[in-house]
Amino acid sequence: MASSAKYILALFIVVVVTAEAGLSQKYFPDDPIQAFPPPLPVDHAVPRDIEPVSDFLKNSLNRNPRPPVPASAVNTLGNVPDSDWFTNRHERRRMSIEELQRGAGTDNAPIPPFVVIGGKLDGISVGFRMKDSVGRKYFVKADPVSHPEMMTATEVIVSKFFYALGYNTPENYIFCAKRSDFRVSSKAELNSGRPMTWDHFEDILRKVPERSDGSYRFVASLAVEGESIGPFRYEGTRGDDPNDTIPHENRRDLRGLFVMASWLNHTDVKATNTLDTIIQNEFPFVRHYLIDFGSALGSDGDMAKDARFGHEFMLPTLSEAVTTILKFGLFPEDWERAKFPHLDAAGHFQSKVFDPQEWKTDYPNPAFLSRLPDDEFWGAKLVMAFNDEDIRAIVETGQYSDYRVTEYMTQTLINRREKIGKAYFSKLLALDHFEVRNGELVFEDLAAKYGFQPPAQYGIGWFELDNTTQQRTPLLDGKENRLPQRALTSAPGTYFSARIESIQNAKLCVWVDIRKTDTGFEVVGIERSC
Amino acid sequence: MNKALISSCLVMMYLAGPLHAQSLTVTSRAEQIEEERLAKAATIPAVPPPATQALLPRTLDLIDRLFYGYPLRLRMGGLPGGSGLALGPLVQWRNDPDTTIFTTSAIGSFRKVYGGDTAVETNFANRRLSLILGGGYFNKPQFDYYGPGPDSSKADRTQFLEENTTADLALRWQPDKQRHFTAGARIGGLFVNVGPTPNDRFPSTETVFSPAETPGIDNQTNFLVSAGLIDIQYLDLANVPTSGARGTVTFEHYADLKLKGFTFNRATAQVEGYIPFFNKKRVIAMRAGTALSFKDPDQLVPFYLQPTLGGPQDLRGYRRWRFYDNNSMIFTVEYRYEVSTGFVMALFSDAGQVFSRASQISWTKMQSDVGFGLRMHARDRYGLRIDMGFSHEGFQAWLQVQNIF
Repeated sequence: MASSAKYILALFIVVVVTAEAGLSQKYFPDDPIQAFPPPLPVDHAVPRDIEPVSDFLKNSLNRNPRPPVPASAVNTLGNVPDSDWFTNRHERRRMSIEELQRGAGTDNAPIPPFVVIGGKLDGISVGFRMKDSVGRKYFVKADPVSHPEMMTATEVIVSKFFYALGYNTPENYIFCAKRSDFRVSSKAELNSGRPMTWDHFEDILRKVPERSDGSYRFVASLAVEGESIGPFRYEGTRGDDPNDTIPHENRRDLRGLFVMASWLNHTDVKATNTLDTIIQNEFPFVRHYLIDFGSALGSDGDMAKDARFGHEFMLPTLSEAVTTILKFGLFPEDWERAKFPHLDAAGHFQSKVFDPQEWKTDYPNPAFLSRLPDDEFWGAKLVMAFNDEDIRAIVETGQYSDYRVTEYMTQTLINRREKIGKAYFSKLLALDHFEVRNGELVFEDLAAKYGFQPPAQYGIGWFELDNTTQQRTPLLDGKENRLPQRALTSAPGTYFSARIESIQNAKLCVWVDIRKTDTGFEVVGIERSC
Repeated sequence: MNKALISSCLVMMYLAGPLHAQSLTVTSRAEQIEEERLAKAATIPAVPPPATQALLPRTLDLIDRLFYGYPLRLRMGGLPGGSGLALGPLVQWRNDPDTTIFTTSAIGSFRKVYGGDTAVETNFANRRLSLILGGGYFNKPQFDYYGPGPDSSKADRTQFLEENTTADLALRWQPDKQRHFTAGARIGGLFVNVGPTPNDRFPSTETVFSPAETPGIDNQTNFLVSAGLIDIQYLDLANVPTSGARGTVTFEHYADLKLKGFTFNRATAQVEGYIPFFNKKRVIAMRAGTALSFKDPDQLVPFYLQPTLGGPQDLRGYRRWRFYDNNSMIFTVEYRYEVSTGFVMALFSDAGQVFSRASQISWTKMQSDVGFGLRMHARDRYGLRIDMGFSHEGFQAWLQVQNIF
């Protein structure tokens, strides 16, 4: 015991000394970066696959929240710079209704006649692969007979939301076609490697709702650009991609995805629903996609979403299972009492018992288990960027034939968005959009802006920041939002800090660092923990 | 003390981490990121190692291929109940449109039960119509028999050997997409041979029961069997239903081809209903079924073709094949509650009776049991069922790979 204490003390000293020796500037001149530098060439990427059952077991058996490690892949403002993972879109610059509805693209809708080139490779929905008359390749899926329009609409709506949020997604198109629009290629193969025939295609159509005019409704996912090298995991890095230096569980764009997935009830966020491709531009690099959104909103692909999903993991712990068994089902959970609309196309989607912070994926996701309040805040900011009209516009791309479904889905998403804002904008001081204007530090209180709480009172303390030692020295002449005299008279390249504290709750505060420039001041850093 | 030190140490490491990460030569954030990338690039081998699969995925893949993938593969189960773990080879051939499937297999169990079957299934009219030509054989040396009627005694347990050979031509029609309606017809031969059990654990049936009590034990015959079936179902999930109802009626005619003394008709009917609540996480599942035999006064129903009760599919608190007679009825109610996705607990009660005449039906003679069970399934695919049934004759534990109903 005594020797281990000595060892720890020695380690402590080494750490302190190392930390001191390694001190360097807090901010670089190019902070805050808005985009990652161009990637290095990826010359030796190896295609790999992830086995779904082992991924399920591995993650289900490791469900504890991870140790708190601050997020990476962020700039000094706490935002995610543009990269091959994520591109700031609607939250940074409002997209028009047309852009929101366009999503990843609307120029490549499939044009008949179609040639079926093979069976569906994986997943639970009914589907196949095809080429259209101009040779574009699509992955096609269809609704279950019991819920016409449910899955196809979900796939399109959710992909457009994720695109607007900033992720790479395929182009998805709803299209209707008749039997006569298809033929099966003589080279078509089933997933088993056996030849695919017209009878196999008829088998597929037999499982698809037929419309009154004899046509069938499908969703076609355009094959994404580049050569597939398999999915990415939500932890670790790809060993063969030099640009992939940040453990995925620490990426803010993957941690914050939790909030967006909860909004859209995308319980099926897992490694096997992602895709990395090698893009060949001037040199090869990896682009990271989210794919397969058919098990979101009220859909679970081939059936309406299980009411349990979003509330509990599929595999319980032993103690959870024993407790549930011994309760004999006599004490129903809130989600078991949730009401769903009698609208087949809506599936099982609701907002009443939705709890953003308790929401769960089908099985644990390492990046989500690693999330911290500032990751959630970032995710919530992106969700709150969608106003009611934005949401309605995207829901309309689902092309529901019953207007009541469009109304219901829109209102449910609005209600869920409100719950997300309320939950995460109260966990920390929800101040954002800082800038220095006319010698004053101005900002927005997002909780007040969205009406979750009345405008709060803040106390602001000013400091001079030494960018090398990172020490903050109090300045006594700073008053409220007004920059201190020292800041106004300082030389360019000098740094200052404002500590903004809630009068109502002193535990909530934000550090804002600003830099004097030749032309004024710029906000260079935000820390949301004090 | 140690915990405090470790915490302090971790805090310092956390604070030191990002600072230490910065090289003093780096002058911009972009440079810092590039440095990290270059450092990683230096570790990537020019010739990448081949992608390898971990042991678990490889094992799962192998199991999948062994049981489902290869044309020559393994078959598990499919012998009469109580045969124990059974395995055997199976060969399957499909034509390219998958409209014709030929399957042949052999199987044996550790309890010395063995058999095999062969079938050719051809589908027409977009799989709405199927024609199946098949035959099968099994030899099971230890079928239990306790005597006829509802008053048989558990203490009178005997066993007999049965050899069973069939050859059938069957037609199935499922006109609608969701298969709400199924009609079927079958004609074929049934050749049965029963005899003394080679086991010495229990007496052989013919040494305890006379041919008068157990018709057909001394002399077996061959049958021409013709049958018709109608099945109507409106279930949310075909294999693991949580709501809806189903009704099935079957009529079979057994014509004695050899002895002319065992010609009879059999009508069976079963209705199931599922009442869900709490978003289908609780289900009251009910079943009522009957099997009735009709014959001329000079004809008999051989004991080995009589309806039975007892076992994992009906009276679960009793031994398998505990009751035999010309007719039977069974009622089951289950309260099912979901523990988690794919895991369902059930509390159940079964009641049933065998009888030779309608006048024998009596609520007081009805055999009943209670019990509980755990079921596992993946979406609409049934996995495993463990049921424990308790009756005045003791308790029984059942491990099954098929649903109760």
